[in-house]
Amino acid sequence: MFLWVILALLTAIVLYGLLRPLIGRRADDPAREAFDAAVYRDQLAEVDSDRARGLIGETEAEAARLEIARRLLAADYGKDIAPDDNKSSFPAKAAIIAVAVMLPVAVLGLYLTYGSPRLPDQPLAARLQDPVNEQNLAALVARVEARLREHPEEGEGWEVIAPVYMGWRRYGDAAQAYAQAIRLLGPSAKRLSGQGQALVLKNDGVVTEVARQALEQALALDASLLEPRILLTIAKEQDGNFAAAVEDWRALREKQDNDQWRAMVDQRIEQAEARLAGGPRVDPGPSQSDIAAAENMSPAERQAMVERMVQGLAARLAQQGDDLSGWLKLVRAYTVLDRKDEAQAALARAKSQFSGNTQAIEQLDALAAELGLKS
Amino acid sequence: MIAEIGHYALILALGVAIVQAVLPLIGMRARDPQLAAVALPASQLQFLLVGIAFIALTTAFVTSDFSVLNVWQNSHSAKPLLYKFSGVWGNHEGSMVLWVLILALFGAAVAVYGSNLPKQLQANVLAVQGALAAAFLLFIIATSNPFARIDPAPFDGMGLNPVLQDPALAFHPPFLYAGYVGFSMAFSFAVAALIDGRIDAAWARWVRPWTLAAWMCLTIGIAMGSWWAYYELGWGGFWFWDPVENASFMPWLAGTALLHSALVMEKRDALKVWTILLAIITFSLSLMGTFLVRSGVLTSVHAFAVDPARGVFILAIMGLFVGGALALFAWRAPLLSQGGLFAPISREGALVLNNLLLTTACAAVFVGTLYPLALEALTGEKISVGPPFFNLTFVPLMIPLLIAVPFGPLLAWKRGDLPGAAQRLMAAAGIALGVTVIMLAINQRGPWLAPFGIGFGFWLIMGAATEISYRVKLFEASGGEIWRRLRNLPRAAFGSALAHAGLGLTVIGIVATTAWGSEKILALKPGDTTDIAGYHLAFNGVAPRQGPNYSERVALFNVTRNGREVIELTPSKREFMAEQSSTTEAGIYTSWRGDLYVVLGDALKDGAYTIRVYFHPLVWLIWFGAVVMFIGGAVSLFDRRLRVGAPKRAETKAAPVPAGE
Repeated sequence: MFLWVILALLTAIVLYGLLRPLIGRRADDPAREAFDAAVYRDQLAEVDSDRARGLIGETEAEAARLEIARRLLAADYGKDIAPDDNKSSFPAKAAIIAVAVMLPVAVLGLYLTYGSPRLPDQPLAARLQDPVNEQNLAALVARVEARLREHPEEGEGWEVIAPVYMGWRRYGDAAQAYAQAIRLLGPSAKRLSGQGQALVLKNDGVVTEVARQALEQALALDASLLEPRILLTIAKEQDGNFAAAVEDWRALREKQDNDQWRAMVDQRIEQAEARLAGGPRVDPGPSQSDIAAAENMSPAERQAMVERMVQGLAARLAQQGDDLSGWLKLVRAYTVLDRKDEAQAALARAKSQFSGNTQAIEQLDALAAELGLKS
Repeated sequence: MIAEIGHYALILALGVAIVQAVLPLIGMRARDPQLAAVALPASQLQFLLVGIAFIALTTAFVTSDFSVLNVWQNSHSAKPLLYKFSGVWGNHEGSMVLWVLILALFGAAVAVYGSNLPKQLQANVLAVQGALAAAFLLFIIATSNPFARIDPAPFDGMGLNPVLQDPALAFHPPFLYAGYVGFSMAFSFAVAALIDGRIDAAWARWVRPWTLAAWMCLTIGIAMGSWWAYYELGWGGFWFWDPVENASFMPWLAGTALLHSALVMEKRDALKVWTILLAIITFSLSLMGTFLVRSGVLTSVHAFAVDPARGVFILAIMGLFVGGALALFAWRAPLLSQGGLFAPISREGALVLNNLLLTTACAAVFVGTLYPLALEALTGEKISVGPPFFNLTFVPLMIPLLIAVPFGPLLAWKRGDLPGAAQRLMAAAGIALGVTVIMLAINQRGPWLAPFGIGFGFWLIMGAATEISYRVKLFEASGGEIWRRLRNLPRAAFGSALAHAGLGLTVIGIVATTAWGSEKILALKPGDTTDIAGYHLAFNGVAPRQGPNYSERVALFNVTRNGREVIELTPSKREFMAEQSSTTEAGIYTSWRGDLYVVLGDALKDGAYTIRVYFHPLVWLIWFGAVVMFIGGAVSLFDRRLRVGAPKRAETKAAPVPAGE
């Protein structure tokens, strides 16, 4: 209700302001030529003061005075032509009605279309104290986050919030929360394992060096954990060490009494053995089946697949930066995806990686020129 | 409720803007001054209403009211307060509201301070401003409503792009918009004159200070953007001939030309038609800048509105105003009377040369910016027009301009004395030449052109000094006489001298840093050292640090010079949690010699880090020059000669307004 009072007040102020000049008469303004004449008089005075200050010479001043005087005369001549007065009062009346009626109606109509007059403001401070939100996990997390921002040294907070982030698929945040918990509360198998998993998920399945270290430490503390073991085996596959991977998978196969699990592990073993039997070490890029699958995908899915591959490539290059063809591929991929800033950053990283290697730098520059990047 | 008041106020402002645009024009046709008079309160009310909307939006940002969609998308509760404020215009919707707010501010200024304008001219100007405001308000409400709500409110916002969380960028957009929108004043006056078919004497005297104010804001806005790019993007460049930069540079070039041609128009009543055209072109280029960065045509930090519907809408607005104004120009310009005559060698002639060169340079930038876009749109072929194109077109056009600048102020109006001016400039030319020769001698191994560039810079500075010293008769008169003349010198003379000298400083900065900058890319381990440009840097390692809404890895460098401690530099890489992205913060040490610029790169496998070290000699002069230009503009702006007197009212015998104040 209060809102409507204020809106009505605003409208009233506007209508008062707009209608006032339309109602009642006003004095006639001076003719336009009078305004011109005022300007020319100013200019004459300026010429005189410039002359008096010695800024211009007498001949210049005289010429300027003559010129301005000529314009002033012309203006003065026109001044006496009175503005014609035979105007009708019809437009003013029509305007009053249009403004007084149509303006508020149109504005109100538009506001009711776009606005949400029933919705109250919901500033953060108010929502944090709202008891209705007590059960809301998001609210709890926001409170913990707010507290952690002020007291980042409270390890328990990080410990609590990390699995929530995992559940929300905010893997980067989860990894960071685990890292903080480890720093403040000391390493435990659970925290290390969580950190390792978060890092792997954040990097779209690529087991990075940091993740591997965390997972290995977790296993060292508690050898019964299953997740670190699986991820470390996948890491071996990613390193191309298929023989060791097959061995690990075989060991893992017996850890769980579950047919589905066994079937899955068997499939992994089969794949690893196929690679072992002489399949070339394929880049973690598109496989034949990926490409075949891509043909049946929706554009959005295809986009997501491409994004995933690019991320994998970027993660691999972050670990092993000495792969020039990989860098060239990455820069090109970012450009194709229209992520120009990242392309630029990748190019800069590649160039710093190969600084001193003229041939590599030349290739990178050539690519940059081709793609229109700044090198 | 606050958000809803803002929303309603914005829609009401649209209604008022339509009234402001329509009634004065009907009034003019019906010869009814009462209708035209509505424009005055309308423009002030419009400012009030858009102001309410802006304050409401700001309140929503500051209190983190995430029930407002725009706030949720562009803010985060953990952001520092400054960036909650700047977040208002750090996004498409909010920045459009700021745009319209500045437009309304200028309109209200015409209403409040325009008592010295003929009523018909004032009403027409306000009608054009009203039409602009109506178009943009309609655009905001229909396609980019900042007050759209979501219920229930999400718990936390998505954050502001971290590269925008920076003090220089917090103030870059308001200045830039003040510049862009300020040119709307010149545009409205031009269109009003065309509608009327006459140019009042007050025209140029009104347009000039407002154009000057807009030009000042644009100068400082562009300088801020360039400074930001220099220290934030992490490779130490200050200008990239990027289409987005060009989009702001073109109105600046055209606006600079307009500033000078309006001077001719005011003093000599000449170049009227040209000035009108230039006013239209300048604002059209501003509109084009708005279109380019918001339509998704360009990809950059600015492209926060990649929505084709919006692009088409802005294109339609642009087509309407630019096309309409140009058509009006073609139709009405022949009606406008021509002004005074002048000889080719005269102050006017020099200003015409200035206009010719500036507009040609602007056209070169225009082609270089739009040709690749047009080609891609037509053939799908992607080409890149980079610095080489601009070095070959823009720079050669600037050289004659730089040579000519000091001559202009020394030539008399109407008919000038070129040999006399040249004689007065002998000393300046001698110094510039001397500097060039010394620089050539020091830098015998090239680059060969750079010393000439420095020479041009000195030529401009000394030329500006010559003008002042000539006017105060520095080497002829007695001390008291010089002092008297100095005090009597109009502020505008100081202003133009300062602005020209500022240009010289910027030229020196650009040439020095481009020609003699040094760069090293290294892999350093903690404990390693390196040397650059006389500085000795010791790398002490990298440590983590926690910021308000980011965590960062900070590298520590001890910098010494000739064995003496200079500074500790701490370049860092920041990871922003909410936005999931990172920024590079360069470590910069500025001295008068130039900037030492250190960037922390990625960690390498063996515990080393990629470190990039640059030395940019005299780079600070680039922005210092821009600040001097800004101050020059401000000094001119306060010249009392720019005030317009109002005529005494014919009927009323009320207190007469003193003329000339």
